[in-house]
Amino acid sequence: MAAIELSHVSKRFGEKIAVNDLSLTIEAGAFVGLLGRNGAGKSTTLKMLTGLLAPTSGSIRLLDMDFDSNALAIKRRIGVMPEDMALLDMLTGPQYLRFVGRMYGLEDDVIDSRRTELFEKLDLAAGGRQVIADYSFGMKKKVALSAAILHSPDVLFLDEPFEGIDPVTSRTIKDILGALRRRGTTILLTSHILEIVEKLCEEIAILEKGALLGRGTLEELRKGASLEAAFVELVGGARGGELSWLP
Amino acid sequence: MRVIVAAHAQSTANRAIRELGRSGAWVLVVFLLVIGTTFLAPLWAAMLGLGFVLGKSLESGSATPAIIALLGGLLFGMSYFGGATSGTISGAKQLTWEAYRTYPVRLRSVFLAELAASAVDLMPMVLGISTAALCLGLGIANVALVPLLPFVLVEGVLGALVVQLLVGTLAERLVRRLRVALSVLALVLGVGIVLGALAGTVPEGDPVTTALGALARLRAPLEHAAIVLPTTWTARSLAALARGQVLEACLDHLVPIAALVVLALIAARMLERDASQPAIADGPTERLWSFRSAAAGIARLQLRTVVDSRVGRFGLVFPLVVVVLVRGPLTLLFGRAPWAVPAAFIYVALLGTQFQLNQFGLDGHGTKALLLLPIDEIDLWRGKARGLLAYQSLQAISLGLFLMVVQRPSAVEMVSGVLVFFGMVSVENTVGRVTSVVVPRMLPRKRMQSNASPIGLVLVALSLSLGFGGTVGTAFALLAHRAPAWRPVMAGGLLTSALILQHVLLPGAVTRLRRRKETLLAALG
Repeated sequence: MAAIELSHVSKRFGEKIAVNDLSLTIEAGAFVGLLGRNGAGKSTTLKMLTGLLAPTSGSIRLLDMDFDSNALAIKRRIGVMPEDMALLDMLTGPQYLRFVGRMYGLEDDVIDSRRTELFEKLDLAAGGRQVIADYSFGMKKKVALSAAILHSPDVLFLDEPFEGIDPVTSRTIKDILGALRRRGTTILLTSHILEIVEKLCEEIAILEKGALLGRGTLEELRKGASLEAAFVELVGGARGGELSWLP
Repeated sequence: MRVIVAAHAQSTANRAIRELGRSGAWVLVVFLLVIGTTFLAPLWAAMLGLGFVLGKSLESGSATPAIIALLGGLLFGMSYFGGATSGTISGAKQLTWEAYRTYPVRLRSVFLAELAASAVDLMPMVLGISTAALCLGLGIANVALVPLLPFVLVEGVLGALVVQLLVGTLAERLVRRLRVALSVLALVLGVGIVLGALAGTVPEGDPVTTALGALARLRAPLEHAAIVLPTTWTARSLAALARGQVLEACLDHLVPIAALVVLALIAARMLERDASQPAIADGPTERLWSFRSAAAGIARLQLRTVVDSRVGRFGLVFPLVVVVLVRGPLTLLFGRAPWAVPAAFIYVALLGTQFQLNQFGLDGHGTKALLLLPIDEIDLWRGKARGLLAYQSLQAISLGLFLMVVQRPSAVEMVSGVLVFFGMVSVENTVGRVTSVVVPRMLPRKRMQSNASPIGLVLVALSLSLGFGGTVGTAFALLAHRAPAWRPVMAGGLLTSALILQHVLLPGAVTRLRRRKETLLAALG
């Protein structure tokens, strides 16, 4: 069964085309990395998949449901960690997770036990009574990840989850994502850290100027080279780093 | 300094162009024309006339202490008092001082840029125009004063700007911690009780006669009090110049200049210190919420967000400000007017417009979290309405309590006032369900003033204030004179109509929120 289906999806902002006739199907339980340069349309695609943006044309189905008519049912079964995290940052970490958990319909004791375990594993106990606004960037990322997986979603969208995360926590997050995948969760991840994508994802989709440039397994895409080399070649090559005014 | 002002002006202009578009610019031009002809032009003419009369009084060179005190008081009202009022209402900084600290820029440059940026606020502009008209009138009536008048104008404008910054910064500090704010409130309440007791001794009767009588009694103490005002020294220097005593005029004028310099130094230091302090965590108690419905959770979140913001905390202080600083002196002058209690409730209800018309403003980036969670739009609106109702109810309760202590209003007045208050809250909420998604704007949680409200939002808020305040206030004043017993009936009718309207328009608000998520996220997310 397909967990995520995009069919000829386009998104325009005035004259600008952010996503151009994108068709993509991701099977349930798959772990897919969505790659692309800055402005390639990754975040816009994720926003459309999570209901924050409506496509200009085309259709989106998640978990065999149409988003327009089943928005609440879909939202209850997906978890989202946007790049900017989108936290209610006047709450403390535990208060935020309690709020989010209640909105997903979880009981207080279930929320508290899951939160305790997550905070322990992600080393978030030090947050104490600080409001999230006063957390470090990495701590905010961890809270956002905790909130995204608190209700054990069927589909998980992660936008740059490893940015600003220390190596130890990064390892823990990889383990958590591995456990979710074994449980059958479909994961769609964007990242600029290609080494992590290489290690975690079994499939890669590359976007360029809003269109799908390539799709396949890791081996199919890199053809013996590194993922970075394959990616740079696919999106048009690097431009060199010499600056004329540097002595 | 020029670079900072230019950057601020560019960002303000870019924001205005982005928000307004071509049709919006025309609406703004029409609005400015209407305001200019109905408010600013008459004000300008009145101040010009007043300046001319005062200038003629100084012409003979035999200005009485009363004339000097009056001119000094006028100048004080248009600079220091005006600046203090503006600072209390709209807060302090225009520029993000924290950001400019990262650049190699002198404090003096940032402070001067701040003054320049603040000068285009509505209140300082009105004060500046009034002072200019007064100075022009003085100059036309008495040419000998002309050399000093540019200084008077510049000092007046700078005085208003500096005091606005100073008072705004102090107000921010005061409300930073709720406990400190409440302690000061208790002190102000004490003053209010004393004023209330004083007000009780004023005889009832014709308001104009009462006011003139009160002013006549206050004339001697006011004349004495005016001596300490820096602006009275400005008036004295003008009088000395009219007599041809140039040296005395210059010496007298040193006092207001010195006062301005001292205030500017204090304001600059306070702003610098505030900018260099780390953001203070408000130390929330670690209580985890539990709620039965999504709407209840949103309501709790909304209440918490508003109460934790500086503006929200200041809003809790405002009923006291209304009672003590506005109603107290007015009662002293006019006695007990029958429209006074509902007017106080209407005024406090209007304070909530900034939250009601921009219901996602304090959520900021958190708006995206709310839209990602499985929350029905109807629950979002209902929850926000309940949270804001809870907050404004706190304001109404505190206003009611203070009024009972200070004014001792009748049951009819109180019931009418409370019903009108909740009617207004309901209307604001209904209008806010449109504006919150059409012209959303982030509201600062740790500052008193947002950088600039969307013009559309300002127009709606102004229309709501003038329209609702004007029509309901007039209807109440008429009823108070003709059929006082009908006031609660009218207020009840108003509340019922507002609630029905709110309920009927809710489905439309839900659809609008679904359709305009992108606008909301573009502005907040």
